[in-house]
Amino acid sequence: MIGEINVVSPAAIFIFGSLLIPLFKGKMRQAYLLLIPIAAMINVYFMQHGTYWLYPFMEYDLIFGMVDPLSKCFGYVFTIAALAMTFYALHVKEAGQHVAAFLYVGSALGVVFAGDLFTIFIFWEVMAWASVFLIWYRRKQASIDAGFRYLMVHVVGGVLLLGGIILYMQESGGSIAFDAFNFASPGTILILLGFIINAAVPPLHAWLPDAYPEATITGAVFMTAFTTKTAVYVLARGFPGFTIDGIAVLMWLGAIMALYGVIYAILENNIRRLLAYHIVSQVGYMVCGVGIAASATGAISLTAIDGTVAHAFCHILYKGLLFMSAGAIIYMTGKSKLTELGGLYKVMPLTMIFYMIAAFSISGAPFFNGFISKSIIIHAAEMNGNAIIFLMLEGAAVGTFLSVGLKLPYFAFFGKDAGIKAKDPPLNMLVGMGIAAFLCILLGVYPSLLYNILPYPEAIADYAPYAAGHFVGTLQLLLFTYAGFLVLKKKLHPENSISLDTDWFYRKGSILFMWFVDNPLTRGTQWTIDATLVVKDFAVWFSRNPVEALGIIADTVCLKILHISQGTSAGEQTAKAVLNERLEQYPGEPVRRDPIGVSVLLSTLFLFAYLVIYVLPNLSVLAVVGLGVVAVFAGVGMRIRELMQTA
Amino acid sequence: MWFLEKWLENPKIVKKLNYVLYASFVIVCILGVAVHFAEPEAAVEHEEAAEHEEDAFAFEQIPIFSAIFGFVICALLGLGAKAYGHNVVMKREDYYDR
Repeated sequence: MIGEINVVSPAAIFIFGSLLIPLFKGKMRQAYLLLIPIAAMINVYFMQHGTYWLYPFMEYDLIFGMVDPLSKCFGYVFTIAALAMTFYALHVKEAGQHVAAFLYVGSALGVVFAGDLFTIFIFWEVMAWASVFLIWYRRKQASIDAGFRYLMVHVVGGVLLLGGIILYMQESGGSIAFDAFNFASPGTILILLGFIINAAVPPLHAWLPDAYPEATITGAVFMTAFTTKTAVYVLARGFPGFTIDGIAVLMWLGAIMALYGVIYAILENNIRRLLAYHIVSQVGYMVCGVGIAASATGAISLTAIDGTVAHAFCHILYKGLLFMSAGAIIYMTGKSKLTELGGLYKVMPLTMIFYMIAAFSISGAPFFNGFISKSIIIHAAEMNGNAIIFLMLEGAAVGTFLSVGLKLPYFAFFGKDAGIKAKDPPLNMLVGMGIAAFLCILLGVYPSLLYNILPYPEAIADYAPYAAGHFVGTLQLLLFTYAGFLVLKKKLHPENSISLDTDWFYRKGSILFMWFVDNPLTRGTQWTIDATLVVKDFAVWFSRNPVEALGIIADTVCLKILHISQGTSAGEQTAKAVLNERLEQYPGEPVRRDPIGVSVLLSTLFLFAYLVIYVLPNLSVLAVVGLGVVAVFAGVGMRIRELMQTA
Repeated sequence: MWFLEKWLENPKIVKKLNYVLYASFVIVCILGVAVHFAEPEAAVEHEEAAEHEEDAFAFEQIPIFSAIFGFVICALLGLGAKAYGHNVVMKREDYYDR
């Protein structure tokens, strides 16, 4: 039966579907919006493994359908998340926001099912350009600025990716197939850099906590799921065996990333920025998982990839739910800072429950989905004998529960009552949150639902997340983190401040750059323009009556010399008056010399030219200069004599 | 959520909830020890599974390792991050606007 169903690319459903959104209004549009993710989900379900949808492009084939368990798993979670998020965004009236969101989801699905590097690059760029509108639609100055910074970082990432693809084509003899790149070369390293910018790996991560908190309420929810997770997907497919000099760089980068996000989240006051830093941290687990796969072999390697994919799957659900709850708080109260919130559990109880489900999920509490996915990656580190990685990841888990599970809910929902009048968000938002919350718990309780669709289910067939040791150990970890929180509660109070991150370098750097452009560079260019204008003005003035102009110039020079040699004299005054009169009347009537005078002048000039041509080559430069000086002096002297006589 | 409001606003019940919390701290530690000493028995029954279950690192042999680790790391992260923030990266909110 499956074979009889004709499927279309889920990316095409979203991308072409998005273009028709403005045609519908009101309830029809809402129904249409929900139809698209459902249609895409059904399509993903019926897509068969294999490679299809090839389109010739120049001398290559663009592959829009490379379907295997890995891409299908991401396809499932992307379409499921899109459905929950569309419910959440259903109340938004502006068609443009829905179009941008669906183009964004569609291009993310395009990357997931792409079989060649060109197709990936195309969808990669569409993803960046579509998602920036989800930031700009908030229409605040801060959002517009953050959007531009977001776009610039992603354009740089896109250029690195394209450069890498071209170099890789040279290295591989023209292949654009998207396979595992298990060797370090200029091409693969550039491709990796392009990918890890989207995965928000420090120090290239600052765009994420910079931009996501400035996006629209619903746009931010979409953004949490797709950009970083497509990056995780391409890393899991392209770099599961990538080492540089035998070091699995992604393993270390990922573990550092997991702790980095946690540390900044502790300092953060803005609720969505706090959660954004936890995207960095959680994606760190996934990047680390890819790295563990590279450093290990056999079943351990496969387990690590399974863990990465499982964690990406669960992360999309709970992180979407976290941003939905935080968005609901901002939407209903208009406040986004922990210092301004408090006691919300009384007025927004359902939001609080949904938030806590997501918070327990991200913290890896038993019976929630983070517990069954994060632990696979940590388990792989354990099997591989990486004690330091194991401790770093467990430490990041402590920090995650501290910020997301304790600090944020304590200061937003409980703690000191800020007396905010609000209520739970509209029904559509609650439905979106409910779908995500239901799946968070469902997967936590029935992990096999997820384990069976992972790329290598046989590798984790023996893995039991609910083994007594792991179960009790996790409870100990979380409860004693709570104990630590109780002790430190005063110290961890949120503060009205921002924390500088690596975006400082380009935000302050750009100010320095603009100063350089505004001052030295602009002045330099202005000087040349001014000088050219002066020459031009003079030439225009001169050309009106060259003979008179030459006379005026010569007389001005002569008068200056006269003044210097004789001091002020009556003759000079008269001559000056005459000169001023000439200047005022300039250009006046062009002087017409009589024909004889002209012919005499011309023949003199020609004779002088002969002299120059025949005599000069035999003279030294010094002599020529001397001759010239003598001629000028003679002329000036004669003119001065004349001036004195007229006086 | 009327019951939650009723509970959290009532100091007596909050006190009781705190006792439950402290009790749970003790219970998970006891459970940890119990699991630690119960595991060898399980290992005899399912040898293959036990080999899989065996903790990889020496520090995991401590029965309440996770509890100690959680508490210490929580304190280190909390204090360390705040110290880092106050001394290095934390700035006024209008830092970039000035």
